[in-house]
Amino acid sequence: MLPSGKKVTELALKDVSVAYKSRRGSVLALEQFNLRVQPSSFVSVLGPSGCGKSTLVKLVSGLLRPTTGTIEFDGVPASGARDDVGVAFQQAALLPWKTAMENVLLPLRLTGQPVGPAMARAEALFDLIGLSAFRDRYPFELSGGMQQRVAVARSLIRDPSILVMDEPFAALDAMTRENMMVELQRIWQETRPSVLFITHSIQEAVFLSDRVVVMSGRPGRIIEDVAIDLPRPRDAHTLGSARFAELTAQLRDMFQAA
Amino acid sequence: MGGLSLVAGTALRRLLPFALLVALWWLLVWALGVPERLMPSPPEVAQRLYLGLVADGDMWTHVGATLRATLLGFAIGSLLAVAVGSLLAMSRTLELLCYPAVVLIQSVPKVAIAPLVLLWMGFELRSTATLVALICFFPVFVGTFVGVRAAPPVLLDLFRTLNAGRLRTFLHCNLPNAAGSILAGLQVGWGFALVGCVVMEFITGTGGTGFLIDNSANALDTRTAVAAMVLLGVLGYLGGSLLHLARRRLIFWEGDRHDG
Repeated sequence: MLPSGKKVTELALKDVSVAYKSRRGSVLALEQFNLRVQPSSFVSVLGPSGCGKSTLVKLVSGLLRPTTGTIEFDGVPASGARDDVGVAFQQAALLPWKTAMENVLLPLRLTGQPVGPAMARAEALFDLIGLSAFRDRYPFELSGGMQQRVAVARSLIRDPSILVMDEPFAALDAMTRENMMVELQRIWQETRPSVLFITHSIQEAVFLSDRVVVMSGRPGRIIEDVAIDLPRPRDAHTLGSARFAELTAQLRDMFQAA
Repeated sequence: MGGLSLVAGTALRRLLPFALLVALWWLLVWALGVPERLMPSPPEVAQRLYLGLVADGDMWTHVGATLRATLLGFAIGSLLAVAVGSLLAMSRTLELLCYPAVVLIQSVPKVAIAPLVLLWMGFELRSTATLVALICFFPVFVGTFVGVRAAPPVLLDLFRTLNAGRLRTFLHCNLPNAAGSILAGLQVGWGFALVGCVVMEFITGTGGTGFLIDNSANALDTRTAVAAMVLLGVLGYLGGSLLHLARRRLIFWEGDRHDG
């Protein structure tokens, strides 16, 4: 059982531009970017490399402030990192000297919150990611896919309203990726945060999302916003369905035009 | 049985280099006909060691004095180095203000200030420990500074998204991440520490293995001088091995990658 709070937080990026200063002047990573993520919905952002996807992650996780525009949570402009936002990076980013369980509890320890009351949740999360037998192992004893699942559990320990995922499966092999897609969908359906999922895999985006947003090359702007109407829960059969093929083909065309 | 012969085999492999070294020493002394007043042979030194450590026991006070001063100075110098290295690594402002000064002080050979240390601290344990602390500071400082700075950016990003704050980020991320590098600095520092101790004992002339070497060499008692050198070598080797072992135990997640 995974107790989960009511999630009503709506994330909105309004007219966001981000300019990086570099040696050859300033580079515009995002320009007039607008995106709204409805509570408990799964939105994927699909774009070519260098389109400002990682900038998007940094903005929502509070690592970066926009040059102009605002990031709003329920209409309130954000300043800095928030307790109700969970982040999963491209790398698992686990502390190698801590066990899987200690890594999952890290967000609580760092903010000085008592760990006792969260133990039940942590154990439920390990059940959810299918690694209950590995909770006392160290990261170097786990495979890449297992490490990434521990990182997902860590991002969920504080029951976030919003989960930001920056190509979390990019470093995994194809078979593991497919399993992780199915697992992530299951985890999401049980915990229901809004997810902002950054990827360059069309398959991943279509399989997981309620909506797929396609970005242009630098400076990143949204050029397409596609609703994915595949019924849930989706599984291996979904991947072979005609509608899935149709949607991926449609997105591939847009992607190539981008 | 199998386990026992395995242990014996490992021991043999560890001891073989030392045996070769002793054999070479013996061979050279014999082949070149070096007189004992210049260089004694291994059995003569072994005899002196037996006398000094077992039969007579006169060498223990000197070994004790050296060990005491070296350990004390090493502990103080290393603790300071870890503290200063951490502070400078965590704060750009402090780095800007203090790093050049630390490097400047380092570029003066520490042994050169030994007479001054003696003047400030007087003839006892205090002056020896102070020189030891000064001399082992730098390798530990560099190990700490580099290690704390080397925290992976993705971990630092994670800590920032968790609103960890600078102290918690240091304690939970930078410091454990620096442990291997700090221990490497300590390994180098231990060797330096013994140098500092021996130099000070040369000067003070009140006791310790450094004093024993100086004193007996002046009296052409090379057996005692070389025996004392062997003891210093053992101290250096034991300290280094202990730190190496600590590194392997403590930094278990790095496996055998950084051994050596």
